[in-house]
Order: sequence, then structure tokens, then C-alpha cells
Amino acid sequence: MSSPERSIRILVIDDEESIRRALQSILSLRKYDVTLASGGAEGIEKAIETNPELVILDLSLPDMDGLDVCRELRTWMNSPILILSVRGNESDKVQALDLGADDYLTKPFQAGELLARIRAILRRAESRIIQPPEIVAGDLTINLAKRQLLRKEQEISLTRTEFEILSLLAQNIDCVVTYRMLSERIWDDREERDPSLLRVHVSNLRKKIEPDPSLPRYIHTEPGVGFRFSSQ
Amino acid sequence: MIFKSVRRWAENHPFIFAPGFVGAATLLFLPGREFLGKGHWALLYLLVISVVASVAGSRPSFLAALSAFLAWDVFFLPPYNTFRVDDPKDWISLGVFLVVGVLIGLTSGRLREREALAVAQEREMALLNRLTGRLLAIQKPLDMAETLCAEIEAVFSPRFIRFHLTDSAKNRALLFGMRNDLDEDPLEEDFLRETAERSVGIASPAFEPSRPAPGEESGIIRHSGLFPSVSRNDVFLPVLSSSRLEGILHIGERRSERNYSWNEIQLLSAAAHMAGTFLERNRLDESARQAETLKEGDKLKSAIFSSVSHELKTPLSSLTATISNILESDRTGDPEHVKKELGSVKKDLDRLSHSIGSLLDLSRLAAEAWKPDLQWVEPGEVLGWVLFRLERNDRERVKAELPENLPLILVDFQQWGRMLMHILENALSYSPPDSPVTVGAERSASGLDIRISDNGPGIPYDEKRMIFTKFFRGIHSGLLPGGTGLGLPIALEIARVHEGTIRVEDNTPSGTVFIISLPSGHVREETEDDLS
Repeated sequence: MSSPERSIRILVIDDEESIRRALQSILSLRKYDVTLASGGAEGIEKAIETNPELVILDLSLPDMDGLDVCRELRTWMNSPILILSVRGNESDKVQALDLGADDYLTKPFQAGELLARIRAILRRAESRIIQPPEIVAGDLTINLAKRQLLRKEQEISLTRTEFEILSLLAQNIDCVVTYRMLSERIWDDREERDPSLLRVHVSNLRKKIEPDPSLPRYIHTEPGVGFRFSSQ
Repeated sequence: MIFKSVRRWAENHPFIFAPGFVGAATLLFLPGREFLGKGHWALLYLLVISVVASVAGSRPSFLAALSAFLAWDVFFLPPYNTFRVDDPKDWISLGVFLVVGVLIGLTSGRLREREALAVAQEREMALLNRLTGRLLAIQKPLDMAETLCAEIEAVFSPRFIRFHLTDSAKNRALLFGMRNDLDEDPLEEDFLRETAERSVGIASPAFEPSRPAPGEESGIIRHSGLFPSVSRNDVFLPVLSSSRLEGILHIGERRSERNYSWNEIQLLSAAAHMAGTFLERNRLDESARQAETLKEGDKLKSAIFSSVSHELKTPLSSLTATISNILESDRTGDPEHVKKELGSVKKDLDRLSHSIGSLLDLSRLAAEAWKPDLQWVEPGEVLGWVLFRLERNDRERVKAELPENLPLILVDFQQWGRMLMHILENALSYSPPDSPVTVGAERSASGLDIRISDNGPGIPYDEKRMIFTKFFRGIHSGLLPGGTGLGLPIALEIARVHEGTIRVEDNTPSGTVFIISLPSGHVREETEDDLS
């Protein structure tokens, strides 16, 4: 596991002491610069103080609704937010993502999972600034400038919508992309469209890019939330 | 039409009709008094008596015979307009006439009554028969009340019917009513109170109405005795079962002018009795069901309790031991030793997490808090999601052999995923560490079959029926120390809420195949634009 070249500042907002301690230990070991907060108000205060490059936020906090913390942070902060949630609370997850959170992790999680998620959203935050013209994933090469998709030098033709979906997913590689993000990108809608239409397009896209369309390897469904393009 | 209404009037007022009809006949006969001999008029009067008997019955015909006797004497036997007769032989004729008239009246009246009785009995038998048949097929009290009231309505056409349920504390609640503006009917209240008081502590119908004395109008429970001040013709019936008063039936007066006869009230009583028996049976069934559920719940609770204490406490004690050992050991300086110990800590934690996850699934399913959110998905989409969540070496053991162009399935994505996860984990744990577990799918006659096959030791014949029982651990359960015996029951429960089934077969040459079947209602061929 490579450590970041300089210390990246991460703010952890969680009321469970054991989780804070565990995150502190996992992240410090990887040379991240960790600040801890045990409540929403304290979290916002520490965020202003330390200007973190990533926030890890638990949705169930004793003093404030985690969603409100997320909303508050998003009024001025661009750094990615990773949500910690418990299984079965899809609507909160989706709401947080719609409020500008970047991804979520369901408790209990493994250290490896957490670090992979952190790396993915930090990479995404970085690529938003640099905007690489070409994204390589597995045997796929997505050329955003030429709007072209190659598999082992072979061009695969996609419809405009399919390409939009693929490029948005690939730009957020290993990060969740919600139905709303997709409909905004494709149809320029503020309103969230019926996900079923998106699912048709994704299904068609899978048929074109997946080595085995019956068992997706690249585009995974996140039930109730959206899709995730996996680099694994 | 006029004839019918006259006849109905005659039936309702027989003792006015009988002399009236004789009087009318006399008026008709008078102008022709001289055309026929006096004896012929006697024959015509016998005819009149027969008519009265056939319309109004035997007792009114007796009155008709008497009237005809007088009319013949006064108007047709000289001297006219007196009771006297000139010819003393006419007294003999008069005497014979009276006897014959009464006999004809009684005979034809009886015949008519028997016929009416037979018709009524047939109708009543048919009603009771229909009710018995229909009540057997009914489960809910409301359906019973509707059926009962519909039958009564069809046979008696009352103005309304109201069916009240009573509880053991004598409170009543309207179960079914054809009229709702009677919510504070004092009669019903009084009747209920009266009936309730009388049926206390009596195991058989306490409220046997007594047959009214002859000549008295047929009123039984209908207010007579109970509410002397009330003159309405409604019928109130107790709905009694063998154990208590189940309700009361309030039947409004008939739309026709006729009142309920004694037999009809008996019939209604019998119908109310059937309703009472139904309600009692229903209540007993319900409490039997509840007792069964409670028993089942108790069994489950104690099983959960023992499982929780075992499945959660075992890894916890092992964790405590291992960690305190690391903390206190003189060898803490040895990183290799610590790493090895931590490896077992991780295993214990995985086991804990798995057990808690299963218990959560189970409690959500048991509390029916996990309503499936059904949507059409591709089978592979869910499998992909499941595989993505497996540990890498487990994931690499799973061989997905899904054919192309599988139909869409209508499932709750997460639940379906959890189900596959439980069966896959089971298969992965009970087969050798490097052997593959294959997931296949195929269309079947009834829908779609998903097959998960392993090459483990297989499941002994007598365990196959048991593996879906909560907390059952098979003979090979030593292979999966973290198992709770909950995975497969949860999987089955999820399949069940999707109207599907899971069955288990032997794999060749060894191992087990789990076959999850979804019915055709949950399976659909994919079309270009309707993936929803």
C-alpha cells in the first residue's frame, strides 16, 4: 500500500468513540492527517478550522442530523464527503448523495474497503481539476475528447446516451453515481427521472461493453442508489 | 293484480274476510232468489265456504259456515228475513247444511294450511341448507353476516337487517347493517341488556321463546313480554353460541303487511343460531391460531436466545482471550506472533458480523418489516452485486454460468441478493476450499430456476428436510463454525415472499444443488423499452 506523498487532511465526524479510534488508527498508519469530531456542530467547526481535503461523516449523530451537516458543509466546501451508514437505510444514503456527498460505506466495513473508497474519491476530486482526456479501465479505453470507446484497439459504437452514461461512470471510477447525477448529465434534468429508463440504457450498455453481459464486471448496480463503475 | 291484493288482504284479515265474503255472495244471490229452489242456494253457499277455506284457512271457514247457515236461513228459506222456517223439514236441511259446511271448510282449510306449511317448510329447509353450505366456505364474520342477511332479505324482504356483535363484556358493535340511522336504537339497547342478563352462566340458548297461545298473533321475541309498550313488528333475535351471547340480530318488519309467523321466527332463530355457532367456531379458530403462533414465537425466541448466546458469546470470549493474551503476553514484542493472533481476532469478528447480519435479517423478516420493493432486474445484475461483496478468494471460486438473454425477474434487489448470498456462503463453506461453486440459471416450465451447485460432501437424505429449519445445524456443520443455522431459513423466507421456492438435490458425483424457482408471474422476457 503506497502512502500519500504529503499528508492529506481528513476530518472524521462520528459519535462512536470506537469508530473514531479505529479510523484514526487506520488512517494515521497510512500517513493521513486525521482530525476527529464527535458531533455535527463540532464537525462543522473543525471543518472551518482545518479545511480538510476529505470528510468522513456518520449520518446518525447525537446533536444534528447528519444530512444537515452534509448540507451545511456543501454551502462552502468542495472537498469530497464519504458517508458512513448502516445497512438498510437506502433513503438516507440517497438523500446524502443528492445533497452533495460523494460516496457511502456501509458499516461494518473492512479497512481495505475504506481505504479503496477514500482513494477513489480523492482520485476523482483530483481528476475534476485535471480532466484527463482518456480513461483506461480493464481492456476498455474511453476517449472523452473523441467520444470514442475502444476495446483492445477495436472500436465499439455507442449511442449518445450510452456514451454519456459510460463517460460519467468512468469519470467517477469506483465511486457511486446516482440516478439523479446520470439524468442530469444525460437529459440536463433538474428533476430525477424514473430510474427504469436509465436501467434500459445501462442494460444495453452492458451488452456492448461487458465481457459477459449476463454477469456485469464493469458496471455494478447499487440497489436503490445508482451504479458504480468498477476498476477491479 | 286486484285479485292478488284482495287475496293478500284476505290472508291478513281472515276473520273479517270470511263473513264479508259470505255477505257479498248473499247480495249477489238475492236478486235470483226466485229462479232456483231453496235447496240449490245451499249448494252455492257450500261453494262459498270452500272458497273462504281455501283462501283464509279452516278457522275463518268455520265462521263462514256459520254466516252462510244464517244467511241461507234468513234470506232463502221462507218466510224471508226471519230466523223462522215454514217447513219444519227445513230444520233438518239447515242442520245438515251446517255440519257439511263446517266439514268442507275444515277439510279444505286444513288442506290449504298443510300445503302452505309444506311450501314454507321447503323454503325454510332450502334457506337453512343454503346457509349451512355457504357458511362453511366463509372465514370472516363480516362475510358471514353479509351472507346471512342476504339470505334473510331474499326470503322475507324485511325493511332492514342489523347484525350486532357483542363481546363478553356485553358491549355491542354493529357488524353489518342495511340501515345506519338506528345507531341509538333504544330497542336494541333494551333487548341486548335483557338478553345479556338472561344468558349469563347458561350454556345452552337461554332465550327459548315460548310458543304463543292459539289465536294470539305470532309475536315471540318480537317485543312481546320484553317490551310491552312497543308496537313495532321488528324481530329481535339473540345470536347465541354454546358458550355465550355472540351478538344480536335485529330484523325490521316486512315490506308486505304480513307479520312474521311463528314458524318464520323459529326459522330466523335457527339462522341466528347458525351465525352464533359460526362466530364461536371463528373465535376458537382464531385463538387456536394465536396460541399456535405464540407457541411458535416462544420456540423461536428461545432458539434465538440460545443461538445468540452461543453464536455471539463464543467469538466474544475467544476475542477477549486472544486480545488480553496479546496485551499481557511477554511476547508482545514479537510482531509475527501479534499478527497471527490478530488473524484469529479477524476470524472471530467476521463470524460475529455474519451472525449479527443473519439475526437482523431474521428479525426483520419475522417482524414483516422487510416489505419487498419489487422491480424488474436482470438476474446477473443481482449476482454481480453479491459477488462484489464476497471476499476475493471466495469470489474467485464462484463460476457464474448464466446463459445470455435470460428473462428479467421481478424481485427486491437487496433481499434477493441477501438470499443468493446466504446460499452461496453456505455452498462455499461446506465444500473444499479450492473447489468451485457454480451458479446457473434456466427457464423452466413454471418460470425461472437458479441453480447453485457445490462439490462438498452433500447433505444426508434425512437432513434434507431439516436444513430449512431455523437453527438446524447439519452433520457437516463443523465445516462452518461461524454458522448460525439461519442462512437457509432466511433464504427460504425471502424466496417465499417472492412466491418462489428453494429445493435441494444431490450434485453428481458429490455435493449439493440448491434450486431457487421463481414463478412465471415474476419472470418476463426482456423487451427493448420496458425494463422497469
